[in-house]
Amino acid sequence: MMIAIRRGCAPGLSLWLFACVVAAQTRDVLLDRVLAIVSGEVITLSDVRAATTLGLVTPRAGGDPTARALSTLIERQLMLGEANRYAAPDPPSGAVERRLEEVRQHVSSTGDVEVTLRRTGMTAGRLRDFIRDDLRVDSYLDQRFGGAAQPTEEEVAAYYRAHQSQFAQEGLARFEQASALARDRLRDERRQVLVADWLERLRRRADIRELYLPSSS
Amino acid sequence: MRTARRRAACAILSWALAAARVSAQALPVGQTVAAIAIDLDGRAIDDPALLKLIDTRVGQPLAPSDARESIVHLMGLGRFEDVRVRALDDERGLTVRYELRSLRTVKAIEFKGHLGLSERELRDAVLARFGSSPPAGRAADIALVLRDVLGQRGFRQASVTPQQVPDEARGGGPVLVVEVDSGARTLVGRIDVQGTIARETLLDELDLRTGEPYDASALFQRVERYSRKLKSGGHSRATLELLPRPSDDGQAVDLAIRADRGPVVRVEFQGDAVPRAVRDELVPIEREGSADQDLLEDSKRRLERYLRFQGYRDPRVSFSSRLDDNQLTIVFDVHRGPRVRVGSVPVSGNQSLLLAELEPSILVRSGDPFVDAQLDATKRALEDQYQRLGFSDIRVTIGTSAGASGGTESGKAAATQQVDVRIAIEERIRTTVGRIAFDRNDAVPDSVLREVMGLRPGVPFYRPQLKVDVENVLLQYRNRGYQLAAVDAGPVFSDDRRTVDITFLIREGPQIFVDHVLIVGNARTSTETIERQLMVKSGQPLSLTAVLESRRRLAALGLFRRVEITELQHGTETNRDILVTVEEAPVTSIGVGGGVEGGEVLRRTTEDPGRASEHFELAPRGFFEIGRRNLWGKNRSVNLYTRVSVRQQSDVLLPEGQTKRGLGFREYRVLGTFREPDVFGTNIDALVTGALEQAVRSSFNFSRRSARVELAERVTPRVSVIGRYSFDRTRLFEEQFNAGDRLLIDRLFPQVRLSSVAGSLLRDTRDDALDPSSGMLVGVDGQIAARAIGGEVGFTKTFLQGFTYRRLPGRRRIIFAAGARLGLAGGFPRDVVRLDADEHPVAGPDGRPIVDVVEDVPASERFFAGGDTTVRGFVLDRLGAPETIDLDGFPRGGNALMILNAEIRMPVWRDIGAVGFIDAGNVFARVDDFDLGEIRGAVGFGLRYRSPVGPIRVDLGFALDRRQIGGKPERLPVLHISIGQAF
Repeated sequence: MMIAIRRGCAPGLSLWLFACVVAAQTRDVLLDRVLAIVSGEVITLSDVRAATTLGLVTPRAGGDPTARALSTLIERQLMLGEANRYAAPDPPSGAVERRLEEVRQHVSSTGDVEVTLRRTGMTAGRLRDFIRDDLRVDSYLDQRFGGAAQPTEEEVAAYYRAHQSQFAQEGLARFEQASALARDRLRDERRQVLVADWLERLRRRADIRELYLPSSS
Repeated sequence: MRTARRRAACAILSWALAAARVSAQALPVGQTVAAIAIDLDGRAIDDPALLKLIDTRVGQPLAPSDARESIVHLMGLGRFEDVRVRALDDERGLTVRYELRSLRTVKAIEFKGHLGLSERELRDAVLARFGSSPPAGRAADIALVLRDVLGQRGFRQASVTPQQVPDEARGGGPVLVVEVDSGARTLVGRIDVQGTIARETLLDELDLRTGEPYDASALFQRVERYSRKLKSGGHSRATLELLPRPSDDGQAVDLAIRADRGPVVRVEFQGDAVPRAVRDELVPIEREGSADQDLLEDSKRRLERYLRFQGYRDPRVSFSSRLDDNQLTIVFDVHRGPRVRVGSVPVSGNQSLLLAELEPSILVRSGDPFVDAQLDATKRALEDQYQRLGFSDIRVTIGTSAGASGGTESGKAAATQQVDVRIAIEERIRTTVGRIAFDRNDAVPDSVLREVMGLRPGVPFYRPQLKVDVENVLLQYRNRGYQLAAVDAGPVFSDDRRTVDITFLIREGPQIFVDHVLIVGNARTSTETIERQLMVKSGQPLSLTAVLESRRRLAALGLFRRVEITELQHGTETNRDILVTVEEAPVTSIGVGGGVEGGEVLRRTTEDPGRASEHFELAPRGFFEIGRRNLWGKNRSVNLYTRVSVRQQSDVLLPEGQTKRGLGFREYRVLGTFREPDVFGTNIDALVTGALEQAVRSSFNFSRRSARVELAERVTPRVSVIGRYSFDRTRLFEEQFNAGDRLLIDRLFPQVRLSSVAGSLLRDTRDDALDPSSGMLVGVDGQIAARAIGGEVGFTKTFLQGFTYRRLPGRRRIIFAAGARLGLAGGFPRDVVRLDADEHPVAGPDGRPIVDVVEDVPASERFFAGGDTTVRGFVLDRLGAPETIDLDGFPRGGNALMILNAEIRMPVWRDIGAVGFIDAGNVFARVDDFDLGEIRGAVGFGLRYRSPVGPIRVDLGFALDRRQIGGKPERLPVLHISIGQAF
């Protein structure tokens, strides 16, 4: 966009803008706030910031990024509540360490880990707990939906036939070549459907208060 | 040149915009906090209690994690709807402002528009989900719930619009106005019926017609009811499936119903007989209205197990079914096989224990039915007995061999066999505990841990005790905040296995401290009152026992319907917030009740003047109670209790020769109490009582006005110490004693003023005060009344009582209860000048006034026995040594009392139980007269009905040595009807 600036006005405009910047720096900043309460557990803006900055959640595509990350955290809290209810076991410490290392690598690609943790309001202890709980939820989902999502040979064959062209593009022209991948994809798809249906029921049942509106700050 | 200027201006503009964008987003992390402010609903407040919950500190670098933790603390209070934290950076430095928005609750809900359902139904739906005061912020959720309820009831197109309207007239929270447009009600569309039940029958039963309003909730209830009806009618396999589907136009719901009546299910037994009651219990096909395969398999297993316990060693039960003319007959074929009894039970290998010492562990006995399970139980019991003595490698082998045949049971086909049971014990090495050591116990010293050990050097090594000790050590850590502590115990045996060294390896983990104690839910109760009961304190290690004890103490206050103590983990791993949530009980309680008491009472009648006779009388009674607790939020309470009984009046011969007789409010009690807990900051509760009462005894009635101050301290959860001062004025009237038999004190003081101090020590370990099944109650009570403190007479009185309750071994809940009571009293001597009818001193032969020495105890304070709570073979108060009963049989009471009770309480059927009892006791005129040889006994039996208000009791007692009293034999038997156990 072209901006027409009359001769001699540029320095004045620059000074005015500079003043605006200074004024902006003295304005108040929203440090944190409550975004949602899920069965009594508070999810804050800093939780959303931390989860997205540290790559702890993978929000769905489209729409307001905070709303999307918040929705993912709400679902995580619902699943965690169920995992706690059924006393899902703690994961092996090695698994927690591996995941922690992944997070560190994710963060170190964009900046210093400690600084990022500090800025997002996350502490090392909470990060470890967060990862541990994520792994507990994963194992709970595997236990609950793993068996139900397992396809039969006939279903794998049908899936392959329905996606034959796609497999062919991936260089897996014959069923024998593609069967393992087809099985995995079909199982994952089914599991996603089962989990989504379960989450929908959990959402209806749970006490969820969302305070965040995409336009609010 | 112009172009260059333009470029420069653009560069400046770009920089400025970028800087502005960055500055708006940047958080001043690490910048020193200059001030902290709290805004509540837009107003600045200065609340130290809230400030305590904020982790951000002045003078420290700003950390977003502190802000987040503070939000969690503040939201944990449950008082706020929203919390935001802002950082304001200006010339004064960085101010962190916490903006709190109060949780506003809806003051009232109003419904408008076309509701579709009744307002009450909608209101109940909101109440069930959100409680009576829903938060104003949940208006949208309330609308969702209402839409769902309306949809369920057939209003599938309903619209619900909530709107909050400030209630300016009355102040407080807003009124939630819910505008409802239920829309047209969905109708029942097409109904497809499949299955074996005729369409018309089914639709009639379900009250279902096409074109009628569709109400899913009601319809599913009717389906459920009809399904139960079919099953209770013998169609245990009936199925009813209902599938609703919205019609294409959305105006109706089409229903597909699959209804199969299934065959009538009958159960038959063939083969060997099984008692009817046992069959009904073990094969619950009719009771459960089900005949699925799992239930049949379970029934088969239960029957076989039952038969094995009867001594049939190898029973076989099978079931089959046959379908004839829509009748499914399930046939259980029972083959008991030969019945086996235990023959001889020789025991060998026991060197350290005598056979007599082993007897309690040997559960198979010669002549008993042979039950395999008893062999395993015996093996376990014997091994445990030896292991307790240190024989940790004990080996018990139980073998069986066929014994002599026992012949044929009378009238039964099965022969009885005998099996000899051989018990071989291999004791092996006895191990004692050698050294006990603790490793890595930095936080708790050895000496403390040794204190909680059951195992000690030199004692027999008992492996189960080791597990208990591990738990005890763990508890020590848990009570010091080491919630993640783990303890492993590794016993290391010596080469000869005679000693074992035990090392407790401890992984302490982090010590967890209480960060903040958040108390929520107390609207009326002061926070201090709650804090006083809490054993968990901010800054202290989080103790498991302290949490449990805090919950118990809060519940014991009686102020709350519900008490929850939960941990909130946040921030660092070593800190927890403790959230104490209370739900307050209503402050005003009102109780109304009634009942009836029945028993034999002694009365004079005009038919036989001068004589008394016993009658069975029922006395209806009612009570009204109103109390208000938690006065001024300090757990103080006031209570007013009133009770009145309607009783028969003794015959009164009127001057004109007529007899006055009838019912009247002969007994009443009005009792007002004020309770002040924790007086002067101590653990002592004070109780001030004022009472006005009139009561009927066998030989006199009395009215009393009294005032009492009582101080009670619960020394431990089971032990209480009570001290009291009481002042009362008691007037006797309608005395039935013969004039000549009246004690001097009763003649001198028909109305007596008493001032006394008393003390009690009570230990109560009963599991239930109304109907205990275990525990003990032991009490000692001492009282001194004296003229020096304002009374007219003085006496001392001691009362000792002890009751014990035990559940007897066995599957049935049979309770043995026993009790003993001993009362001793004595009056202080007092000289009283004898007066004539005109209240002039009576002079003796020497001309000086006659002085009598009074040392009796007033009638209202003397002991009486006989009746439904003492010795049940006797009419109320009619038990006593001859000196305590006048010529006509009216009891005068005495200064010494002993009562002994023993009772077996057993369940009979559902809430009905039976008891058998033996009571004994007597009343003696003076303590010196006390004679154990004069104790009189009674036996009897009774029935109990366990009602919601306590056991309703009917007892029939029989005196063992009937005597003549007042020229008549004592009544036999004596009937008592009452509420509550006898003791």
